[in-house]
Amino acid sequence: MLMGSILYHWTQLQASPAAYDDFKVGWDEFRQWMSYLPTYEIGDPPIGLFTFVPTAGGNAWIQGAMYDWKYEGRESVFLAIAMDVFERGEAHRVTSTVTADRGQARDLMIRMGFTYEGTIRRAGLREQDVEVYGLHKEDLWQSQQE
Amino acid sequence: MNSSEKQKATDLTFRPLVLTNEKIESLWAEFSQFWQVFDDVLPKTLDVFRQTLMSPWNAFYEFVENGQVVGLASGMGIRPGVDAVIHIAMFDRRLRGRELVFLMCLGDFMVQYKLRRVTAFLADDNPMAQKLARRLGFVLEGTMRDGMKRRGQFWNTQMYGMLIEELYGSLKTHAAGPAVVAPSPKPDANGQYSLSLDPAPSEPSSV
Repeated sequence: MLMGSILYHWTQLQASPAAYDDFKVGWDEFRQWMSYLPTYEIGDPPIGLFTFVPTAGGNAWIQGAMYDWKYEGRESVFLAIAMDVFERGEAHRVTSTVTADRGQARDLMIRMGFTYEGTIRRAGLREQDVEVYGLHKEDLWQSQQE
Repeated sequence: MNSSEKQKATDLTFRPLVLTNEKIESLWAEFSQFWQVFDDVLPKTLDVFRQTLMSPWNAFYEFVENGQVVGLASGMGIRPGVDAVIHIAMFDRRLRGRELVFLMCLGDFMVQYKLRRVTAFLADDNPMAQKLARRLGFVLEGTMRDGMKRRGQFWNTQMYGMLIEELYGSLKTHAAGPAVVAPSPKPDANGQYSLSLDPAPSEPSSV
């Protein structure tokens, strides 16, 4: 990603810091992520950003934000991104975290075919519990069929 | 545990890891022998190990016994003030009896970064690590389906967490020593066993 784009997204995220999955990321870390992690800009001009952070064992954690906070009705776009990650062999599953006080985000996960896998206690920045949702390639296929 | 083993357990100490080239290479020589710390995705190379050690979001402690480095603990993906992912590898493969030192190390790390919790992701192909986590007082928080691909197979990964107040509780429990076990009864001259109503010597006489 070009530095101009990185700065654009950084500015957007600063305007709404809670949007990026409620995860506080510093500029240095963010710039590094954008340089080597699988990242998808949504829209032209971009109105969202999704980054996949691969971790041990072939699992990738999703860091995503829509700057207009609109998620409903865009599920097929998000699923297409996940499919691309699978097809490129970046991960065999993706994981999304949702803070327990965000009911709409939880509903979105379930609509997209994610499965609830547990709750990490008090892991949110505001000390909220954080729910963990996983999506496998097979789950995605099933979700698209439905 | 006999007395010499007890002595060994108390000799174990920990210190923050200070990195030098020699240190990285000697740790790699030990570390690379453990399949438990690798997966089928990240390359098993000295370079990757070096990058992991030098990442600003990771912190490391080494365990030392009788002047020898016998293990490594790491806190990875540190989110200051919130959370980090914990790993422990003991090169001499001894875990039991060392829980108090592990907890003290964990406490040092959590206070240093003001963490309110720590997390351990443990795949089902490593039940020993899961047992250790439970002995240390970690709480099972969920299961990531096929969370780990290792040795050609997908394994569910258990998510364990420990809050700072749970660490205090565990430290207190482990510092108090092993659970009180009544001594084996011995028969008297007539081969009879007497039932003593006195409290066991290590039990408190009052509450």
